[in-house]
Amino acid sequence: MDVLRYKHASSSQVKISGSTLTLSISPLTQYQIEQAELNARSHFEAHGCLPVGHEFNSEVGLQIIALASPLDADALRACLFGDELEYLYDQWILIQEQSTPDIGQLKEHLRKAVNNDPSITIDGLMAYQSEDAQAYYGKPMIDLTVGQLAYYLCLWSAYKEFHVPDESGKTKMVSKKWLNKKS
Amino acid sequence: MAEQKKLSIKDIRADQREVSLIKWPGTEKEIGLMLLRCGEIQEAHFAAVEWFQKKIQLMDGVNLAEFIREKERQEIFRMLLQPDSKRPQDRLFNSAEDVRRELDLDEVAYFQAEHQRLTEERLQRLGIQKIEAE
Repeated sequence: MDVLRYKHASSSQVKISGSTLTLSISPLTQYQIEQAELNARSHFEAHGCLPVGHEFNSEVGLQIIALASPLDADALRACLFGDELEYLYDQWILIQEQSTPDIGQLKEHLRKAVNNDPSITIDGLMAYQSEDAQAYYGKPMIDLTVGQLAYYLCLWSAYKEFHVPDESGKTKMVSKKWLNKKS
Repeated sequence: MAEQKKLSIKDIRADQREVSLIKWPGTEKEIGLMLLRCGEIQEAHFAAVEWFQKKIQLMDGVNLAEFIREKERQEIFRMLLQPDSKRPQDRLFNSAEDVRRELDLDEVAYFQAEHQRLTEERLQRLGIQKIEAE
């Protein structure tokens, strides 16, 4: 499991047809998704149009791609055909889904990783010592993706379980058999 | 997270337009048909809404079909070009009003069908390929 994909909200490269250009598409936060719809609404209302129907839905998709990629909305409108916009939107959906982990699997993976991967152990210590997810990532909560929040919470929990002494002053022991067992 | 906006439209292909020659229905005369991009289709939609609001005011169920026809006319105004040009500004019609005056419903349907046909041909010709995730 590539947990750093969740931590960094990694982007993917998507090629636009008929062009050598590839666009870097990133997962978005809930706040950005809402912002995309607001941008589309403002754009339609500025043209005296009701924000409804197929054209409006296309504009929402375009605004999402504008926030998820290095191109702004005007450039996307000028360069994309409708089918390309649909393709990029479908790719963004996939990238967004890939950035949202299965919590059970992530938690189990990190429970082992804090015991046998030194970089994750150090990261766990940093997460545990951070006051919250904002402090850990160094940015406001609204700028964090679901995957980033899940990574922080699962890592914090895993580190505490194995590296922080309980009330009796003991830390939890782990067996090699458990560590080597595939989850 | 989204990167800083760095690319401009010139980095992509703004000046490259795909124009096909088609016959004017019932004649051997050729005209250019340009596949419309998102912005042009949206521009046609906004222009249709503006015209509709001026002329008809209400957009109810009865008028919806007329609105769709107007949007199609606005798209045709933007897609038909002089036969020797690949520049979007070299339109065959001077205005959407000319399209309304000159084209009957069959011709509107014909040009829309031609745009759809060329769009499908383009889709078959160009594969859209995803590159490995970073």
